[in-house]
Amino acid sequence: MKKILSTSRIIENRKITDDTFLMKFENRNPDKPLPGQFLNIKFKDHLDPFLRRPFAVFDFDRKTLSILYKVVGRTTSMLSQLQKNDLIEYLGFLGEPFDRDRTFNKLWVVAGGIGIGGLHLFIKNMKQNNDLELFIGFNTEEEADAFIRFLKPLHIRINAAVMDPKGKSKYFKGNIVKLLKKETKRCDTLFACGPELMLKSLYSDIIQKKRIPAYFSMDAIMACGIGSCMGCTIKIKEKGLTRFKRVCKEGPVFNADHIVWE
Amino acid sequence: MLIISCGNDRSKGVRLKLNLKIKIGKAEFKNPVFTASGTFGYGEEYADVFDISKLGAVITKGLTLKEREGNEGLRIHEVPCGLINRIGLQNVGVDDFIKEKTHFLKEQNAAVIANVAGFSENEFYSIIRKLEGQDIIKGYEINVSCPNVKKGGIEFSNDKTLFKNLLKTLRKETKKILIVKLSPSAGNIINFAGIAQDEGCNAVTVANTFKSAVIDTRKQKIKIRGGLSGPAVFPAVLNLVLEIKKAVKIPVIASGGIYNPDTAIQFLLAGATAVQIGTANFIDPMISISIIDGIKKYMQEQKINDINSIIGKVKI
Ligand SMILES: Cc1cc2nc3c(=O)[nH]c(=O)nc-3n(C[C@H](O)[C@H](O)[C@H](O)COP(=O)(O)OP(=O)(O)OC[C@H]3O[C@@H](n4cnc5c(N)ncnc54)[C@H](O)[C@@H]3O)c2cc1C
Ligand SMILES: Cc1cc2nc3c(=O)[nH]c(=O)nc-3n(C[C@H](O)[C@H](O)[C@H](O)COP(=O)(O)O)c2cc1C
Ligand code: FES
Repeated sequence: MKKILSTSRIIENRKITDDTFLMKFENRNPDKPLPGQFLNIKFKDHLDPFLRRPFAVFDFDRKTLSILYKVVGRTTSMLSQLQKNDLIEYLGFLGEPFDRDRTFNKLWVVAGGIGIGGLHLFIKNMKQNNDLELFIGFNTEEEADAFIRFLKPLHIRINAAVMDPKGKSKYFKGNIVKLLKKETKRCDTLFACGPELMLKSLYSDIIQKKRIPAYFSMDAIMACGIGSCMGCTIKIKEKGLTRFKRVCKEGPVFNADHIVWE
Repeated sequence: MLIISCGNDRSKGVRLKLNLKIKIGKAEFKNPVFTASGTFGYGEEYADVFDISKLGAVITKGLTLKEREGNEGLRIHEVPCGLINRIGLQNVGVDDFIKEKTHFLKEQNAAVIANVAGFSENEFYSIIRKLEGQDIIKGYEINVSCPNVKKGGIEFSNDKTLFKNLLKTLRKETKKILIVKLSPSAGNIINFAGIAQDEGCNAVTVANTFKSAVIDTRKQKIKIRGGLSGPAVFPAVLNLVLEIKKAVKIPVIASGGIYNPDTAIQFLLAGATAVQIGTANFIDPMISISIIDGIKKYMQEQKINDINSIIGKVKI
């Protein structure tokens, strides 16, 4: 697959919740992005912030690419200020995708809030031929409302958990792992993306106990994004050996049983 | 993987016939733009981005005798206009490098310099012995300056006798070019450059990363300690190049903070025979090609047909 370094014009930069935005920009890639792949993004002609930042491909069509991002620091806050016709630079598509060549009887997709960014394309790909359910965790009720409205076009079953609902809530109260613990049914395979702490407890409390095959899209601070700097490694068990694997190259998707949790 | 660049301005159009060839020892390089060790892998990732045979040379990741897994914990941290890294020399080891990487580099027609990272004189010696038969390797860059491993390498940059003996041993072992990469954080770097010259080294690389640290004020703990690179170090390294050039006759290869053609040209004017593109590869994977093009454009504008005529034009 060709990797493209492109300076692209922004088509839309829309607010989804207080701190989450959907940015659409020109797509210059001749190939389709695969679910789980990401872009390494920077501002045109800026040395500050210095490094590029990785964002999953949220969606695409022939002419556009989009990312869904949450404002957490300098880059994301500057991204949120950009307007239609401003320029950004992307490098992509990067990383190894989710396995989408198999079908599953029952497929669970688990997102910690903005983790949906890394799962959306996968859900779109898989929902036709699989019995798919989304479990997604939020901090507040408003956030949950906005996201669920935003995800409506997917037409899938969504189970939401809210950490901090006000009074009587239509959502499950607590974190997403707690919600999954109460689930009596089980699934064939689980795919997840979210904060490391969530993935860690998802692994120890659900995946390991119920012996469910699972794949996680992992996060790491990155520099090059293409496998040359060795900066983004995590520990992976492989054939009895523990080694550092690059999240940008061998990942970001890893078999949950292979991840060494610190 | 192929990277196509869209919407970037890369200069073309040749009027003067330009000579960009430079020489280090007996080795000739097609231009003075090299890629720095540890920022370019073994060339594979970037070979999909552009034709790496266009580079003056590719310098490999630091090679150790055995494969190394590198450091645990946070390995990279951004600072204003710079990067702190503590990778800890994660590399495939010299045997796998020969088995798995040299063939590809040969296919690509790349000019290769092996960055050699030993923990003892014996290790440096053994790595070079293994690489000697590889025609693709034009020379060695001896890394006695990695700040990110607990012991080894950098000790040679603090001890003149160790340093001298190491170079004496390695010089006897190879007729290929021998370059020593100096540490900007170790004692008197100018004296070390002098020793390298006395021991028959063909060039010195100025310099590796600067020892540096960041504190997390909330946790009141060290966030990271490692080597600083990127545009933040450029003026400091430029000054070192000027000073070292004044003190030694052997070629200096500049490494530190290049991020555009102008910073590369400043190093050449200050006396560097070649320059290395490091951290900037992470920001723009095509930067080395832009810099080669930028140097050509500058030569056209300044009506210079031989790159060698501007090397060292500015002195202190
Ligand atoms: C493969 C991959 C895909 C991603 N996809 C998305 C996505 O679709 N949407 C989205 O909103 N975010 C995504 N991220 C995370 C995103 O890259 C970071 O939120 C972003 O880099 C923060 O940049 P900043 O300058 O705004 O924050 P900074 O000012 O750099 O940092 C703010 C805080 O975030 C932490 N941080 C910074 N970068 C990362 C990182 N890469 N991973 C974990 N913590 C980090 C910092 O340590 C700090 O605590 C993805 C990350 C990876 C590795
Ligand atoms: C992630 C990273 C890894 C590096 N690994 C090595 C290495 O293995 N051997 C070495 O001699 N220098 C290594 N360096 C130093 C670079 O080769 C270069 O000398 C330094 O980064 C300064 O140049 P720059 O500012 O252009 O990056 C590394 C630098 C970075 C950023
Ligand atoms: S970010 Fe450089 S190797 Fe992954």
